[in-house]
Amino acid sequence: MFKIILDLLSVAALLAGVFFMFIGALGLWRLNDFYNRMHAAAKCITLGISGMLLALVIHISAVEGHVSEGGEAARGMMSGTTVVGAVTKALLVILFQFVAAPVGAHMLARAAHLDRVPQWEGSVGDELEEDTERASSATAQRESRLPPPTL
Amino acid sequence: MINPVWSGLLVHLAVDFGIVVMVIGISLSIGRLLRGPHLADRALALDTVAIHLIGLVILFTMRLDSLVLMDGVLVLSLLGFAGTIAVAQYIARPHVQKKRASGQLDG
Repeated sequence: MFKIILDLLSVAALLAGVFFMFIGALGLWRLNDFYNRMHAAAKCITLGISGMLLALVIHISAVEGHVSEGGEAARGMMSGTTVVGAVTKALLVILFQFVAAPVGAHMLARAAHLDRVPQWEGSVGDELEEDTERASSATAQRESRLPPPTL
Repeated sequence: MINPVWSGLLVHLAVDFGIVVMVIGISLSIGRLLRGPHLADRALALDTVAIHLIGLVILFTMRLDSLVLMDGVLVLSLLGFAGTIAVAQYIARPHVQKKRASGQLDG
């Protein structure tokens, strides 16, 4: 009875995680602007992978006795292959993704904005453009020496 | 690994469905990798492929019930993140150098 509940919980978390991952990939393919694609990729897939890792944590703590822990060679040498070790690794990956995904998205978006990746023509505004005063004439003179944007 | 309780079969079917959806997601990301007009689009697509590969490894862990695949999850997440950061710095480097040379440090 308890195992049925845990299996249903694991399936629910897995389907939610897989749904959000698919939405992220679909947004990456279909959206028409780099900055919009960054929204879809960074946010949706972080949430999706957290859901799938949660499903994994529930599943491997429910399936006791059937889990292969690396065989006889691993016993006593690699405690990372026990159930507790695997749950720790999964939670570490969730924590790392929640820290690393915003940092990576910010760096990539700022690099693309510095490299003058164009916005979709229906976009409302560009606040970073106003902040960096790139439109001022003092920098426009020096911009004639700028190498062409990377491909 | 199908135990007689029906919920085990449900997990098995959900993992199979998840593997198919993950492969569709990877192919969509590779489509963006081939199509993206800028290098940053391609870096974003590769990061997405890395995270989808983490999802695939998770699904294989649930399917094969073997815990040794968890190390692959850690390594994939670190490598995907490091690759994205490296490409972002590569894109931004001439602009940062220009700003440093012209005196307005961009932080």
